[in-house]
Amino acid sequence: MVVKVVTDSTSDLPADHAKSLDVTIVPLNVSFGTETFKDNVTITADDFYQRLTEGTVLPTTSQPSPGDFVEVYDRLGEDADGIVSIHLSSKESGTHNSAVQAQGMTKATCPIDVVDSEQFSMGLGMIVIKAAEAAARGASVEEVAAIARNAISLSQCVASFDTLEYLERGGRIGKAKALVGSLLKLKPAIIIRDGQVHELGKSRTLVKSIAQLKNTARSFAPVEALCVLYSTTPDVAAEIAADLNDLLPEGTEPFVARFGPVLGTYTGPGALGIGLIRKEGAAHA
Amino acid sequence: MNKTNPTPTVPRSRLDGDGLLGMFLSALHLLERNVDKINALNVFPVPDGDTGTNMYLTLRSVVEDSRPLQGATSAAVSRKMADVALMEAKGNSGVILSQFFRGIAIGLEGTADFGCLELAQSLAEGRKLAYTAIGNPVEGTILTVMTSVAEAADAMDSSTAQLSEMLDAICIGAREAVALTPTMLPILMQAGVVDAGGQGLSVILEGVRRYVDGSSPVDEEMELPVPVGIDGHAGSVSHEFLAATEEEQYGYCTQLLVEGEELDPASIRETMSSLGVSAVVVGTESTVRVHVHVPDPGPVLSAAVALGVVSQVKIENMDSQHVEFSAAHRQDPVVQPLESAVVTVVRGKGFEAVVNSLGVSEIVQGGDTMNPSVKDLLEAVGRAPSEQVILLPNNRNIIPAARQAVKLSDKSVTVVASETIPQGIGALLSFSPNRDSATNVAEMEEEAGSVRTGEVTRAVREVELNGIAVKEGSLIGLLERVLVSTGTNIEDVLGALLHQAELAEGDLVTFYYGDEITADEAAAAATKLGASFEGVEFEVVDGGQPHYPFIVSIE
Repeated sequence: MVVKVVTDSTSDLPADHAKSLDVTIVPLNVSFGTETFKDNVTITADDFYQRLTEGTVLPTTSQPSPGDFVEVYDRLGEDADGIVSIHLSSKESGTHNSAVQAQGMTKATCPIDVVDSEQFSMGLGMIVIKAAEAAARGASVEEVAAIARNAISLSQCVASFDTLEYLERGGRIGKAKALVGSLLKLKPAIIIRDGQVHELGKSRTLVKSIAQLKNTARSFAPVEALCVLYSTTPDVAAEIAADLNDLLPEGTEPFVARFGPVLGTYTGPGALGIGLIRKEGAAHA
Repeated sequence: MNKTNPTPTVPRSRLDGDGLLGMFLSALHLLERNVDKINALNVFPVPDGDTGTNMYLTLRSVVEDSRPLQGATSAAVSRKMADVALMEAKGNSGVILSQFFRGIAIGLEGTADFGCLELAQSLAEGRKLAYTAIGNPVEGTILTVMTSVAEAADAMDSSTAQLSEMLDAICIGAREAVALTPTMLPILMQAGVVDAGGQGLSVILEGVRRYVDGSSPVDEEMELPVPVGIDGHAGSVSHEFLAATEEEQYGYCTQLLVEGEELDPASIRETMSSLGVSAVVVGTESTVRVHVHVPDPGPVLSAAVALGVVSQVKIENMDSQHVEFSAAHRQDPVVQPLESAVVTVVRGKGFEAVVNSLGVSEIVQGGDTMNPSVKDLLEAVGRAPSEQVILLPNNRNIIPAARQAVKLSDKSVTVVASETIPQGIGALLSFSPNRDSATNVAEMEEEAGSVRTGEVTRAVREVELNGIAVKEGSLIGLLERVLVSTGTNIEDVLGALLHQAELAEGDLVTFYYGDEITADEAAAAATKLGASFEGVEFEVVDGGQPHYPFIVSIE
């Protein structure tokens, strides 16, 4: 049984993880004016954050076209028994919609299941990893899709931003609107719930905002896997990962990933995040 | 790219592949000029202001990648366009646009050239595809515009109409549909705009029309259609619109029936018109029906009673109707009761603004020399829009009054015993109106405890404390209410205070400057002192408090 797992670039799944797990990543697009790049393909995160902070043109993002998915499904369909395509929350992006449309257009004849992860970044990435591991064990397309759907309620993603500016300007402020308009400089923290951005809290210093992220991660114990995300500060992310080592089972370590250009459009520089997946059967935090 | 309209060959009863390319090249030029205007309309489904850009990028790819097919049949060009659109579609609007092109490819299948019949078929196919493509089609969007244009084309006799005539009808249909979008999609009504994607398609069709027509230049910013149901500008946001109309007084809608003899509807109309607006008076010599909007219904009734027997009196308060309408069409957090609310005590316009921006419901004026009464606190608690109220006294001397208010209030009140305004602000950072009081209080107490407070003020008498001799009227620096420095120069006293605080890297120092300090003076002090504390961040905020040139928050 060969089941292929597909996700999109907002999973922020590191390239080596994707490769070893045989996951295909369909890039979203990020545009500066009329200049368009494919997320992490034709623009690197380094180049992106440099343009974001130094340039005057604000980037915008757009979902992959149905055709982008058709190409991938056509290719994978040639020797797969099924495809499970897992994508970021349909409430904030049309990516899921593009994938669903491609489902009806592809030449692939194997079953294709498109899953709305209701998550972002490594919240999505963790679900993809679970699905890919199942696929590697030889699970059927139904089993892989069921594992992915089951993982949705176990997956969590929190992030803290140096500023709310980018999220606000990008129009993705969602349910965290209350954070806008403070007269003090605040570092806002958000959590993804029901596929949307919600306020987690606000801090005035980096130390406190990191403490808030870590405390929130600990509140989800027991945790099976954990990833620390950053946009421009890898050292800080590595420190947080080391601090949270004890939260994971023996022999497992947190890893570090980066908010790619498309999500970076909304997080801005100096953002940190945690994506994790709780142990199954654990009480809901 | 060439900005002039390709030379038309008039009349165009049928167009071939080159004609199809020309149509959309013209559309691309017109759309390019209108991208920003369309972006500014974008509120649905996500208000991210990129609909115009996405449609432009999609159309640009379609035109550029199809151009090498010059001389080909209309079928070949349309097929190419549809393929490119599918691959290059950007955003939701781009995806729907790709269905529009797919519809053209179906409508023009097997054709060397095309006329009205094929165009009408293309639009009908595109519409059908777009609706099936979207999971839950929403009206008041580009979909509605596609329906309208397909119907406009279908309504014409394709065997006799000229292409230009059909496109005239299509563009009118598009503009009308765009203007109607706010009546179908509440969020557009709220935002006071027409639909961005719909307007994008309307601009594209206008560009197509101008190519076929051959008369108008394409390099022009297009006026937005006047939206139906909205009195404002189509490009402006509704909050202003609703706020502006909120101030208007509509008064009472008064209706009644008068029965009498030798009634004169015309003179009654004149009377009623002098009393109010929107007067409508109809009837006969024996029965007259009156409808008028007036600030006071009394004179209308008196006038009517003098004429005959009055019945069917109906008086409606239009202001309350409007307020309901307004509230229903506006996301106003204030109208919703909160899970829990905060009442706090501060002094200074700047502090009031700061705590307001952090979600405080009620502010009581007060501080060191002006302790509010228990009654002041109780009244503020009563006004707060929640049954669960958190009280932040922000002063050690006000805590007893706050505790008293807890006992006397019939609401569930909890005191977070903040002793300074910086502590209170620290506590507010972890307050959320969507959580219950107990959850909030636990976190707020922790946050309040993590903030240290410095103050610079003047000594009211000569004193020696902690080994520091203070002269009457000189400046003193207090850290956590303990005297740590004195002098005559504000910056020196402030600097000595900060040194006593033993700041660490990553700390944030906020200077809330008082009513006797200017913003420039405060900023200068922060710049100067900031240089001597490496790794410490400084922020300057207007506090506006009396008696204290500086209140300092250290966290």
